[in-house]
Amino acid sequence: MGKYAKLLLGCGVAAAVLAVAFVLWNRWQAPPSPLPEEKPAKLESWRQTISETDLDLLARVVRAEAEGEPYDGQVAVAAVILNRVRHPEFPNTIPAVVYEPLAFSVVANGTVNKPATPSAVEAAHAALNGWDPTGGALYFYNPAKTRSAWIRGRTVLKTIGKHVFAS
Amino acid sequence: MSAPFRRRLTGIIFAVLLLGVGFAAGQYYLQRTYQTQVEAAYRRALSELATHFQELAAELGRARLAVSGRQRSLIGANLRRLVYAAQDNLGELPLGEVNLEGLCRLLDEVHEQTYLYVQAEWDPQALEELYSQVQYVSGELGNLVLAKQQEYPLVSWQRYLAAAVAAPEVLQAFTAINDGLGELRSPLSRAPARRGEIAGESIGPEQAVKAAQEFCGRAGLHFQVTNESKGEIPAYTVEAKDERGRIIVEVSQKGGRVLWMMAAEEVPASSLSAQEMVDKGREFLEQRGFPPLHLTDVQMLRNRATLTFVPNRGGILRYAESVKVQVSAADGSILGFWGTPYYTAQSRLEQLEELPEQTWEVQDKLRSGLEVLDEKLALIPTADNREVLTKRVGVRYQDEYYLIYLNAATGEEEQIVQVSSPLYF
Repeated sequence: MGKYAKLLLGCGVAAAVLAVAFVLWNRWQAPPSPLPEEKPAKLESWRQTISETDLDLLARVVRAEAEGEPYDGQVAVAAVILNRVRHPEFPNTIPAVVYEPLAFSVVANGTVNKPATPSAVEAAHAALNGWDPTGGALYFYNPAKTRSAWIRGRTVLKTIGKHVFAS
Repeated sequence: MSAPFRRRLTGIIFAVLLLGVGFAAGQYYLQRTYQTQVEAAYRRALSELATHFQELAAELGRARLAVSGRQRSLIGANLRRLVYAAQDNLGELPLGEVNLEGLCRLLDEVHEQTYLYVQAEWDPQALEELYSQVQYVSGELGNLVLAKQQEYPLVSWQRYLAAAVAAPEVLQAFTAINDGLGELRSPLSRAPARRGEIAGESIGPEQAVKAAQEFCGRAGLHFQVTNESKGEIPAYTVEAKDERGRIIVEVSQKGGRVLWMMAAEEVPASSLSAQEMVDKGREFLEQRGFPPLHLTDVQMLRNRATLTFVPNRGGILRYAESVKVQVSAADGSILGFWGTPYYTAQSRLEQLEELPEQTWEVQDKLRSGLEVLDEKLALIPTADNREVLTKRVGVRYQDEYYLIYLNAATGEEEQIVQVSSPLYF
């Protein structure tokens, strides 16, 4: 093998290594593709009153805020958003409440864009149907993660899992 | 190390370095292009926001003078379009960390007042107030856009290094605009929703456990009080666990009513028909002493049916007193119950004195081409937390089905809801 051929071979090997590294790096950067069972379930409703996009957005917030929490804790997070929609001091649509500046950290850090889990979809659907384990809460926080004196000063209605629900 | 090997190694290192530099340059270029595109999009959003606020101010200015219904409708349509557009623009700006509550509320208030304005129920003072606030925002945004236009090139090299797409001056400007907005003297027309109360004697935790056990009706479950809810309706949270999952039951501290129940369990397969699940739900409620109920909705999600029932008292469907039941499509077991509206509405609803005499014909109040399939009286909740007696008319239009709720007194439409079939009319 001539010396140029060897040099070319070396370059080829190096390029292949870099290409593999690039692909791996990109896969690591890219958001994980949803697993088949994570696809949002189809809602069949006789009265056409629940918007599929609202259900999906609500379920994604539930996943981002309360993944790993008990089922009632997940329903409670969705219920807080819906309580805000009905309250005069908050916007009156689900997207407007969710995307209200400074309202949810999961919107600012992009976690809300992950697809919803089946449990989160069920929890969001239950909340849209009225289930509210919080008794009318407008706020929730994880006491281990927040230092805000303002939120800690709100009237606590209930604690479910790691979240405190307040009015 | 032999000379040929050294030469080969040098060649390989050189090639790797070359590729590395090429890769880094490519990434830098891509990032720069991306940032430029993002910055251009933000500038466009900012410029459009300023334009929309300017047009909003102009429309509100005209709105103060308009009297005729036609002119108010035209202005109202423009105001709505501009509010939605401005809300979109606000969402497109990189202002995630800035408090824009005042701006958002101002747009919400313009939207609310527009509805009243078109209905000829507006408050002239509120309109004046909105006009002056929108004018203020419009002026400030105009100044901000002018200042941004002085900047060239689109993105300065300092910002590339700082990887910041929103300039601090933009964030500061928006904070100042938001802070400069005064409190609106006329509050939003929506009043907070209030539930009724549940009357009855106070119960202790043991009675709550007993109530949960009896209500759930599933054998072999050991319930215990795990939590207390201090919301509008103080309640005990009672829980039990079995191999199927957790069951949570909320029992009111006054009267010992089961407000809701939810079972956190997977339903892997579906073997029951919708009608079988409806029968199971109805049977569950009958056994627990509920009066005859009318089915008003069936929703299917992940092998669970959520059924909505409303009481039919005095020939009137009471939508505000709804009861919901979730039924498993696998075995018909009850996975959820929601009865809070049923108990609370009963406490605040006054008996209807007399049914208003209907002075209009249904066909006269509907557009032509609708086939009327069903008529019932229904008391429905409204957006402003009132209740209104309606004639609920089930119709078919071009192979689609709708429920139209006509005000019993005037015959005007209160609500129109599309349904998937005439099955549950």
